[in-house]
Amino acid sequence: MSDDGNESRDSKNTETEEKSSPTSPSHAVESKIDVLLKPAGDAPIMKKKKWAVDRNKRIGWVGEFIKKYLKLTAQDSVFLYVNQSFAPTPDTEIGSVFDKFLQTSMKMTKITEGPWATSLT
Amino acid sequence: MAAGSISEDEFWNSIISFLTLSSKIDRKWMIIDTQNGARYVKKTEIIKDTENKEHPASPMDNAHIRNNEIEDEDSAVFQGEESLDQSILTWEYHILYSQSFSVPVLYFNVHTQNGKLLSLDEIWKKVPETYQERLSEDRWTFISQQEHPVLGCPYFYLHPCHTAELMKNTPAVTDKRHYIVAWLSAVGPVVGLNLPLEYGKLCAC
Repeated sequence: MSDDGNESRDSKNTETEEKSSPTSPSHAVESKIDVLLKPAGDAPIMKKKKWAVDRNKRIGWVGEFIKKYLKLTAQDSVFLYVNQSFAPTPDTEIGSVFDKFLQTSMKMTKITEGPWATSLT
Repeated sequence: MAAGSISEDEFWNSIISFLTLSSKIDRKWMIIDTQNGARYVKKTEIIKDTENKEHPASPMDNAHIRNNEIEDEDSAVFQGEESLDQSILTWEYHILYSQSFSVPVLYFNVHTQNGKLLSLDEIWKKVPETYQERLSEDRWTFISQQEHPVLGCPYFYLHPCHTAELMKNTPAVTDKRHYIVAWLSAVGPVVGLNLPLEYGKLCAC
């Protein structure tokens, strides 16, 4: 997937969601949501960008998961933004974000502590 | 201008965008103009403190009380009571522009009905635990107390020294109109301030 403009990215993401979510008629709502993580600013690039997340997992859980995956320290902060500009509160369920925005393409921002911690790699 | 900061004009443009959203979503934010020409943005939330410690009352909960409900509560409480209902708290949030750091600053106070200000410890106990951890871990959510630049009385505030660093990595930096939503949605929760999801949805590029 090329990193072109966000709009085309978002529409790609939406298509993927429709294909990969459970399609059995008894599932009125997808139980897992595809979350696409894109780095912003200084955030490191994740090898695996797309994750299937239970819809009742919360933003805070996703943030903590990213911290563990990237082996960040407690002093590093991860912020997740949706729709370019909004950070849902950590207790917001991923399912709610998907329902509201009809896509879960999130940009992840990482803030490190102090100017001496500029790179994780 | 440092990356992640905004000019005062950009700040007020973003505030206008933000207030437009507020007028459609929760109508809780407003501009306050003072006699000497200064202005700031304010939101007030009145919350009934519950006795159940598992659910500390803060604006993060949905236990909002409208003014007429408070009067009903008061009349019930006033029977034989001399003091005002200490369990009703007013949370006030102000957004101002910091000339020194060229970023917005969040000022806040919580007080009881008889005007007593809560200490920082007391406020922290009201904030849900998940945010408390963030507050103690994050270096950029440093809370201090100082004289309110417009009102002159003591207010707590989130120190703006790290705001530019936070915002320079935020996607919103390209479109400054979204700056306030991006900033407030990120820093607000640690001091009990919740922006509903609608702010992100209507704030579409």
